[in-house]
Amino acid sequence: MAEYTMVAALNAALRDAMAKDPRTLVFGEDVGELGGVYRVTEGLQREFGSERVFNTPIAEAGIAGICVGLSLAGWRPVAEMQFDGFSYPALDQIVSHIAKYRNRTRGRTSMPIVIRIPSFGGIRGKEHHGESPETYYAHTAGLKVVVPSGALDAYRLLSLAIADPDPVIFLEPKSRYWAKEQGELAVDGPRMGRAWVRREGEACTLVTYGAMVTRCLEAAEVLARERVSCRVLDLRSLVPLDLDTLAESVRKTGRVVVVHEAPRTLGMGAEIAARIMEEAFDYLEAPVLRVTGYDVPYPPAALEQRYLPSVERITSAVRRVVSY
Amino acid sequence: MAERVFALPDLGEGLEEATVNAWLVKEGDPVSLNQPIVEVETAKATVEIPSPFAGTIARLHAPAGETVRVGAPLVTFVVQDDDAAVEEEAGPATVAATPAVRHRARELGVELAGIAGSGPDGRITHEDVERATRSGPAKAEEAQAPPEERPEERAGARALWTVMMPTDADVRPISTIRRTIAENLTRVVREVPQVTTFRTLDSTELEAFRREVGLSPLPIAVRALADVCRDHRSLNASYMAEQGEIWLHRRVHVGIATDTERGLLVPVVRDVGDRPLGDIAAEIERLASAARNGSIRIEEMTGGTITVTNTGSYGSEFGTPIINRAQAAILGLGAIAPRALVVDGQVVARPACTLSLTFDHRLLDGATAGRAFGDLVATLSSRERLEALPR
Repeated sequence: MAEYTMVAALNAALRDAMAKDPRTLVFGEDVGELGGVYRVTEGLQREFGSERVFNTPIAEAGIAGICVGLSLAGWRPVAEMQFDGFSYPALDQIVSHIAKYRNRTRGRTSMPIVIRIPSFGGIRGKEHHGESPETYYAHTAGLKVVVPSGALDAYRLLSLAIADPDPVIFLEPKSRYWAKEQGELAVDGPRMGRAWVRREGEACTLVTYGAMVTRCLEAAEVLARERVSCRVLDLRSLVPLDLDTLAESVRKTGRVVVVHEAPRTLGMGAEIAARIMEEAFDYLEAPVLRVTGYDVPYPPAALEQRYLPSVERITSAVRRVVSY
Repeated sequence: MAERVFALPDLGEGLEEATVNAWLVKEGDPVSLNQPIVEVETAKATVEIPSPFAGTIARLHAPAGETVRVGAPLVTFVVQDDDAAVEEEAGPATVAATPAVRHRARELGVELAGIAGSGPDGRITHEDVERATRSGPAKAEEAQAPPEERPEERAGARALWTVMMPTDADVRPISTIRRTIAENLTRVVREVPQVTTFRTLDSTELEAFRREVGLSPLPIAVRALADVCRDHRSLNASYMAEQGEIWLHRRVHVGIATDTERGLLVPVVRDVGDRPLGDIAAEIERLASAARNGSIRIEEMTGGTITVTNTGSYGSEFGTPIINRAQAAILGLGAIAPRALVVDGQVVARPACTLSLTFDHRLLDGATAGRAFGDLVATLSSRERLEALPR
């Protein structure tokens, strides 16, 4: 069985998409000859030429703006923002134009754009290199937001995102870039917009995404030794949210802990907790708890692991809801 | 004017009873709303209960020290009629239950307002709802219910989770005797500022004497202690905080901590000060075997005024035992073994042991206890004084 890092899987997804559809373009800062800071685009320029794979100036608003123009001209842009914290200059183009174009044209013109953003913390990075920007995008109607948690699903999700007719913000958990996963790269499996039960359990559901999926699985393993069985739900897609699987999980376990790296206030946990109240209130055995980053700027490397949800914080939240 | 009976409320811990520690009001006292009226003690905590009414105390239904069941009358108030009316018109008490429990109760047609919650913070649990649907006396059914089989669902397991203890333990009910031991010890530890002081006893003379008279050291120490109590009366006393009195006991009844299969029992040798050594030894022997074979009577285990525990009987060098309720001290006898002692400037091997005296610091200052302890050691290490003990 083959083994892939997330970087290799993403690289393969880009290569396969470019080979399949000559309208697919890849561009961003240093994505050409260098292959991107994380080498996700490595070898693509050599293979598909510098007209389809090219470097841009260090101007994120420009990268996003180019996406709009190229889409209007019939191309399918896959742009890379070098880091989460550098994607903010592009917000105006993304929020005001990419997200709204279909609505602005009464459905006549869609924006088949993928904006890849290496995101989240855990890599001992400096300021601007550990941000969790998902809420900014998820709060903007007209954008889909997806987050893979492992290599094989990264291939699947990126392939689906590129094939999607609407703009997709594709957040790649940097701390999982080099984690290996065994299996075959395939588009078959859960579609975009579906959550994925990564582990079955009855006592509590851990709802999470990205790098925190791995941490929740570790926590579930610890709790299993205490005979507390946890269901681990990998959301994969933050917009749209898979409310069916979410509600099913609440009906099944009655208890939910949401885990994400982003700060607590108005993070995805708030949305998920509210949706659970709306969809499955009668099945709650305990309040929905959140284990999240703190409401502070992302800390320097030395404090990073104190900021990120730890296995201990996750297990103690689960113990709290289970003994409520 | 109208009378209002106030029953002991569920104090929010799922407990079934509480003991009245102290009344903060007496009959005839006027009280205001939320004024603390009584301090009660539950298995978990001491709680002050505020007055639910403004009015006058008509009757207190339980004297201090009595245990009252939740729901039983605690105090009767005389209140203004309109106050009573307000109480009657007040809506039902807030019901704490999770959405899932409420949903289930709706399905079963159970009214939550009538159910006492047994969950954390008085929350109504699924089990409470299920129980409420069953007919007949709930208590009896509860008693006959088979033990729950899944350890993670036991109530205790919830408490253990919070300290990350494994929850797959073998579970035994607490026996009455174990509960009594625990309650007494806990109460004493909570109420009594007790300290322990130690002395090394050169046991050369004691060993020689006990061989001569054919006794173990225990009855000798018991008798010597009784004599010390005669000279140092605060050692044989009770600190009666509630009465504001110290009781100096005239006679010395020595409890002997005795290890039995059922747990620690403390039979009491009466009037030790009037008994010769052989008689004391025989009585200790008789009481110990009665305690071990279960034939001991309750009156043979009450009324002690001071206690001796032989920590040396299981090899320990010394202990810091907890004094018994309403007593002033407990003497611990350590194991006698050869030790390097300094005698006349020379290190020599002598049989020796460590004695510990744990005392109620409210009754005895350190110096007082130290002097009494010194006298005891002087008796036990002097052949002359040992010989003077009545045989």
